[in-house]
Amino acid sequence: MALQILQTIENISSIPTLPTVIERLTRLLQNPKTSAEEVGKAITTDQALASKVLKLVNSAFYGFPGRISTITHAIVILGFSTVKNVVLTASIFDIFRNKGEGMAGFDLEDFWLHSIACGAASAAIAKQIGGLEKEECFIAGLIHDLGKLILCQYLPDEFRSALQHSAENRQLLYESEKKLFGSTHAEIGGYLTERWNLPTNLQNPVKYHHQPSPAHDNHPMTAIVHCADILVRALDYGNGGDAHIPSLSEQVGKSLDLDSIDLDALLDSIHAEVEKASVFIQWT
Amino acid sequence: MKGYPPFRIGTVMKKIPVDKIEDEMVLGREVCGTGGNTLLTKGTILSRALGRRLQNWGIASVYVEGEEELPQEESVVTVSPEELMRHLSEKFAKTMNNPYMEKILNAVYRYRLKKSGK
Repeated sequence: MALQILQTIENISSIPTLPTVIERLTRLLQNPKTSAEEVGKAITTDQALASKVLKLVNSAFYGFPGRISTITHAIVILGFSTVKNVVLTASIFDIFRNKGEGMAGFDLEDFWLHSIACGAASAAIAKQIGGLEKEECFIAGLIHDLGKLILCQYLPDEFRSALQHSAENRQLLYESEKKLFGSTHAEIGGYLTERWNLPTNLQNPVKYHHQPSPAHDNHPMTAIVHCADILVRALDYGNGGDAHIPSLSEQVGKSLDLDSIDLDALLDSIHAEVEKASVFIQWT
Repeated sequence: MKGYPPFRIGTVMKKIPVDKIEDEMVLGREVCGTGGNTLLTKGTILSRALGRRLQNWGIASVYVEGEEELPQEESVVTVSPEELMRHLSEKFAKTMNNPYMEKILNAVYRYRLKKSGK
């Protein structure tokens, strides 16, 4: 990352942090002897978060509408890993919703719609190809553009000029960012996920969603997010700040075996996942 | 969007296109997606911003509380196949040497036409 931008971001004391409960959960889940009650207790220390988690697990998104009454019940039905993902998702919305304002060319509602749809599309692709956890892919897609929120909030002048440059020169936003200040929203978002100590399978899709490479760890999840971003742009779900569509990496096409995927069925499944994810539109 | 108003009895409702939603309107009937999932529950306080999001989600109209004032109209998004192809070609302009992108463009075109009922 260009040094100056990195230093600027490092020096911002108000850069958002994840609630401590996430770290506690990660530690607990690493211990095979941890019980559902212990995890439930850890989550309910933050009552506001716990009630959001319950609201989410009872939405159509997780498939148990209105049937889960306690966090411990949620853990028993959904499993540790899914509940941890729910807590992380709820925390991310908590941190960023209603924070700051958009700017010309960057409408926050459109941004969130694009991000939620990218998460939903990532989940749909994961479901279709198998082998990866759907909820984790949702989060990776949801947070892939977090760097744009940091830029918009903390470096508004730089971000405004990148938006303008991208529109005037018909370039992708990350190309304009790289040209104007030597760094991209992907690198800045990646830095944030490192600072948050998120696992690398969530860090890398954020860092490399515009430049996926099998040489990086967690390439399958990055490949899914790269493809999901392209599909939701084509479907016009929201807007991440630029009007064009990046080209799909040929390596991603091969690794997802796109030639043998029924794209018509995939688009239907993306639509269904986006509808289920609409529970989040009330949160943004 | 916060909170739900208490119970209401004998609510008078009108059906309006989502682009006519105003701040503080109250949703008279739940809004479901095409898959039958509940998107918004009855009693939700609406806003213009939420109306735009519903539009993005492909919802044409909703029932809100209040006397009938507007003519009942279905807001159907009508885009001709030519307009859709022009729009997509513009978006995909820089990617057309990539065979995967050609495949994606064609699939998205077919899908969006199917969705708009053409």
